[in-house]
Amino acid sequence: MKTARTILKEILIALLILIGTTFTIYLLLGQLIYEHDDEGVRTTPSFISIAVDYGDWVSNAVVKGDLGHSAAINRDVSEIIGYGFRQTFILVIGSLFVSVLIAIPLGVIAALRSNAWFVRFIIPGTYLFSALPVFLLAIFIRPFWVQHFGILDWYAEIPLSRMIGYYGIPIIILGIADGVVGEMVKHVREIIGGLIRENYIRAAIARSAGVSKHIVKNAMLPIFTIITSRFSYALGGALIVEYIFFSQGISIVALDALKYRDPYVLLAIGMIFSLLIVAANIINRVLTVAVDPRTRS
Amino acid sequence: MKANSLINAIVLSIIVSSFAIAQAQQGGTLTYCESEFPRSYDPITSTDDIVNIRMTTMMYEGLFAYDIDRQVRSRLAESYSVSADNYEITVRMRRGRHWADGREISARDVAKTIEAILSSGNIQEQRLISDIQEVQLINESTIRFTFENPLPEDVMLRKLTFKLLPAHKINNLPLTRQSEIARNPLGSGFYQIVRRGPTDIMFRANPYYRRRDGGNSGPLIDEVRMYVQADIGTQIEFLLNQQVDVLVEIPPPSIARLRAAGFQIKPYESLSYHFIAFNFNKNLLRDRRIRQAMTYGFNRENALDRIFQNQGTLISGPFPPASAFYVRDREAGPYPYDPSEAIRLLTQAGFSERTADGTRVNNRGERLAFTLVVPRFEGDDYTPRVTAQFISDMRRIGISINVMELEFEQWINRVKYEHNFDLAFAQVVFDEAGNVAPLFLSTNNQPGAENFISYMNPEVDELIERFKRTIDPSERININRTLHRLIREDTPYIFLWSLNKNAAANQRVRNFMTRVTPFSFFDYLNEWYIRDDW
Repeated sequence: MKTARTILKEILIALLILIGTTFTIYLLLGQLIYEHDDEGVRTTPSFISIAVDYGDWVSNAVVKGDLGHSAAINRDVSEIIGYGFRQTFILVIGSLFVSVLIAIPLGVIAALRSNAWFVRFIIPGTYLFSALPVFLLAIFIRPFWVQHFGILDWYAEIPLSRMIGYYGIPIIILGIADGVVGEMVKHVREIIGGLIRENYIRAAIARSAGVSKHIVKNAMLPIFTIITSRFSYALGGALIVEYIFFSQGISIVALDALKYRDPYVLLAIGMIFSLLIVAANIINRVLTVAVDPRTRS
Repeated sequence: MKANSLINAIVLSIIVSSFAIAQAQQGGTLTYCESEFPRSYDPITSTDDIVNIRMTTMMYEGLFAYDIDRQVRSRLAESYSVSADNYEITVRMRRGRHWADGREISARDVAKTIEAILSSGNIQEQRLISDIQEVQLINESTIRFTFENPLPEDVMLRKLTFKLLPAHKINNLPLTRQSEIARNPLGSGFYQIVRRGPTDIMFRANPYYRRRDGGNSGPLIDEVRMYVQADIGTQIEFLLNQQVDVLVEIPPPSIARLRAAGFQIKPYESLSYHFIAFNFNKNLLRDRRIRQAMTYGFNRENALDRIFQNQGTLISGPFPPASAFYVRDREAGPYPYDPSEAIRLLTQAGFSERTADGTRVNNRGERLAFTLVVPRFEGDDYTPRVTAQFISDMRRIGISINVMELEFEQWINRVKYEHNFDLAFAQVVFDEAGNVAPLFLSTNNQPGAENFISYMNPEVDELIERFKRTIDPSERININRTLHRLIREDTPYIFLWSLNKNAAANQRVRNFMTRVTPFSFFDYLNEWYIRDDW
């Protein structure tokens, strides 16, 4: 009951944040919207009229899924950003998954077997490889990617193997380069290392009692925080990867919208990002509460 | 008997082989790359959008069009007659030409298109038809245009090269990018859009298209796919791996690599030139000696060679080397790089002393220090290199340059509307008809106009006005050649270069750009064909 109330409270706060953020974006972009609607004639709309228009825009977006029209490329906004978000999120979520898949086992091994000979090679090797910049790795791998996967025809049936390669290579690049894996390994190693030095763990080891359950439970929260904090970082890196591999990912769409002062595209992207960040916060909160009962209060 | 068999065999083999060629020539899909999507899908509501220009060339036609030799040829027009006083032209249109939805093209479409152009914000197109005083529909296929001034026949025809829109698809004016026709195009050209995907646009041959010779065949290639890929490096990889057939513009450093890999490289003129403009509202820049000194002091030949791998031509005035108005005398050629002449002119202008940082100063304490306002374009790696060399060359002759890079919109505001600059890096499209009035006529200096440098030269004004009034083609050439010499001498701009562009294609594409008109990249796309057996 208490948990449900906490979640409800979080959702209400999130909704308020969402409305506040999108309205602020609307106000900031208002100049462009009115400039555009009046065919170049600048007007100074009143706060009330902006609020009414904002209400219209939100109701159209929520009820009809109509996010407006892109003045820059003369298409409906939903048509442009739908594909863009799909590409970006496959890339970002996939890259986070890859980072976690590599970094957690390596970090745990590094913490538990810090004196083993292979750890002395694997860990610096990971740091070194992971330190490669995204753009360098992307340009280096691009010829292979183009040769084997390249342009997809979204209107034809695409074999699964081709789809995996098409997304897999950019995902792996974004997931490991720019120091992502190296940094994650370091954090995981520190967290696990810190835990096994705790007195209660050492006592449990001395008693030959099982410690893995305690380590997993206590390490989960900080590791989860690291993963969520990588999300926005991965979005930034996605720009370069999208530019080189994909066409029309959301960061490219956003850049074009900025270049052409395309208000409704920027507004829709701003709104969806706010929505996602708020959703991520709620999920984070819910998971935190689920993992650590002390945070319920 | 033997002879007969031989003849029969030869005839048969000719028939079979020609049938095989015909088979090979028809059909297929051509894929080409663009860096971004067009900003609209009609030929009027989007200006300065090269993606749109290329695309609408495939989809729309005008009454007349430029041919490979830069002469105007009939397209939808069948014949025309010009009145004796050169005020009127009557155009009879070809019958049986259709829009892609099957409706017949008529003179009403021409009249409606003119109305649409005038209602739109496209200043370039409006300028093209601004001399048309009256449009009169004689019948469904005949239309008469009356001009404000008498015009030579070729100039009249050039003014009728605008592309036609279907009247039945223009419901409301003004024509904007929100209009139905701008969102869902319908033309009469070779191809029509059949699909707009998240990363591409697919065109299919227009079944109603008739070749301009009146024959029945449409374009040889069935489908054209425009794929959007922002990164030029990835575009080149696509070409190398046969994932796309054509790149419309490749960077000069990749030419040698692609040529070595067996790709077809075709240069084409960009029909525009770059220049550095002097603001005549600034006292120091009104002194011709300073302007000339800066021109002598900038090593443009070196910049063209080093930065653009010599893919262009140095220019000396407002007309391109390919134009009839261009002066070929050595005396009227581009200023040579001559720093000692530059220093002599600056000394003569009173700038003999130098400050501690090397900048020249006159006895009134005025320093030769200027701000160069440069527009910034995504993916343009060349302009920063040009400005870097300009700064360095100017420093050598004692002129200090500070560069201000602005987004294009901001550049337009600052330079064209506010006239708030010393020097401005810019690019202009040649006027095919040879009219330089927008750039240099002293009265065209209001905010937003093309004479943003506030250039004022009564001699130039007089020649421009004479050019407007003159009908005789040879006399018009003489006037513009005099104008070319005069403007070169007066140096309102540092005229830089007209760059060539280079397109690349794989060997599947046959007849690739055997004919190409500047800008209208796909004007002869109906002659290209695909050979998959290469």
